[in-house]
Formats: sequence, C-alpha cells, structure tokens
Amino acid sequence: MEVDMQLLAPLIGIQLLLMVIALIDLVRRDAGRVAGGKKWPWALGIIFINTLGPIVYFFVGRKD
Amino acid sequence: MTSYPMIRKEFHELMKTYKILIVPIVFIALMITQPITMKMLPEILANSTGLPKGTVINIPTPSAPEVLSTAISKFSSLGTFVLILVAMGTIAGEKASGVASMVFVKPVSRAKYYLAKAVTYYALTIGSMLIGIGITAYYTQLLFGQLDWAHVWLGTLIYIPNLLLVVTTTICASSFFNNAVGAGGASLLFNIVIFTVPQFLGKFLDMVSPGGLTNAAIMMIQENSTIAEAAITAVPGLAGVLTLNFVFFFMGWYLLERSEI
Repeated sequence: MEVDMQLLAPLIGIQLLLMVIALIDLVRRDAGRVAGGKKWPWALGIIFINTLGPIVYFFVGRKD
Repeated sequence: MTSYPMIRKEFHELMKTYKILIVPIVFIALMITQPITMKMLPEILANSTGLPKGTVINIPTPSAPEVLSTAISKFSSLGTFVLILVAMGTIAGEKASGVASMVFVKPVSRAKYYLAKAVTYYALTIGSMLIGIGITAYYTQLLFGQLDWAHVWLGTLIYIPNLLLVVTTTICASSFFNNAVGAGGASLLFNIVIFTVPQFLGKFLDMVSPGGLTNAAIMMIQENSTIAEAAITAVPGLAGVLTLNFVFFFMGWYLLERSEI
C-alpha cells in the first residue's frame, strides 16, 4: 500500500508538536508535581500513545 | 478598564497551563482527520479484509463543501468534550485550591472575576475555532477543490454560539460545584441533553435548539443555497442559543455571588 506522505504530513506535524510540548513540560517539572509521583510512565505514555497521550498528560497528569 | 488586570491574570493562567496552545491544536487535529480519511477511504477499503475477491467498490468523490460540513458535524461531539475538560476547573478548581479566596481578599468584585473568566474562555474558544476551521478548509481545498470562503466563514460564525453555550454552561456549573470533576460531569450531562433531545420534541423546539443551529451552519457551508437564504434559516437557532447563553451566564454569576468561598 502506497501511503501518500504529503497527505499525512499535517497530522504527523500536529502529533510531534503536542509530543514535544508535553515532554518539555514533563522534563521541567518536579516528580512531586506529576500525578502518581513518577515521571517515567508519563514519558512512555506521551511518546507511544498517539495524540491522546500528550492530551491526557496535559489534562490529568499535572498537579498545580 | 479596571477589570483589565483580572483578564491579564486569566490569560497568564492560560499560557501557564498551555491551554492557549493545546486547544487550537486539538481542534485542528479533530477536524483535519475528516478530509484525510475521506481522501484515503478507497485505499483503506481496498486494504480491509473480509471482502470477496473481485469486489468493486465505487465511491463518488465528495465535493469540498460536503467534506468540510461533515468535518464540522463530526467535530461537535468531541469538541464539546474537549471544551468541557478545558473549562471545568476554572472556578471550581480555584475554589478547591483556595486561590479564589485569596483573590477575593483583594478589592476585586465577584462580578469582575466572573466576567474575566468568561471573556478569556470565549476568546480562547473563538480563536481556536477560527484557526481550526481555517486550516481544515485550506487543506480541504487542496485535496478536493475550490471552496467559497464567504460561505465557510459565515457558517463558522453561525456555529460558534454553540461552542460558547458549552463554555457558558461549564463555567456556570463550575461556579456552583466545589470540585472540577463534578462541574464537568454536570455540564457534560446537560450538554448531551440539550444537543440531542430537542430534535424529538417537535419542529419549533428543534429550530431554536443548538442542534438546529448546527444544521443551519452545515447548510451554509454546503453552498446549496445563497448566503441570504442560509442566514434566514439560522435566525431562530441563533435567537434560541443566544438566549440560553444569557440565561446561563447570569445564572452562573448569581450562583457565584451567593456561594460561600
């Protein structure tokens, strides 16, 4: 199957943008201010779960 | 304007929680998937299993306005959910964490506090929707052919009061409940009811309900009729939804004035 990469480029771009913002926020945050108290599960979720991972992190994962 | 510092505080809050970035991105992501799946539909079907050999599937290519209008109708349920998630904690969360009581120690009236919240979230919603629809429409135009931009923008403007209603009801629930999840749950329940039930309650209620407004917006975007005709069908929906907006805006204000913080 030939996938037209140009067609999917904006989706991939959005996905990468969300991922980078979420990771930057996660790295700059103390472990105590993340839900669950550990940072690495969130990092895995952000990287490997498409789109939904970063969004869930933004809404649920951060304790302010 | 003396309420300016409060609005600036709210915008600062949006920046700090990245909401100002997330909401437009999520809106774009929700809408832009529609033209992409429509374009790739033949390939997806061709690769799906379970079809007997030699099946011929003939799908007519939809026109650009049709694709864009399905994007909007698909967007309405998930977009509502995202807006509720974003706005549900705005007052309830500050009441729970004690920020609200710290604000009210200073000479800030509750009206100003409430107004600043509402204005910021309205601005965020309108801005995100315009960005989202602009990018999706541009992309649809690249893939499916020419669009009439006057119809697109007018259709979006007709649709926006629906999103504002979601924000208003969520802020209203947020000033009543003391925790964010309760506010979000109540708002979600209310929005599901108000968006789905009126279409079974007769022609008039359907026309003035948010669902009727969505239909008017879709009609405008599909370019079947002239701008004037489509605008006339939107009038009852606009009147109904804006009235609901006013009612819930003042109800939330009243609840905030009465609540003990």
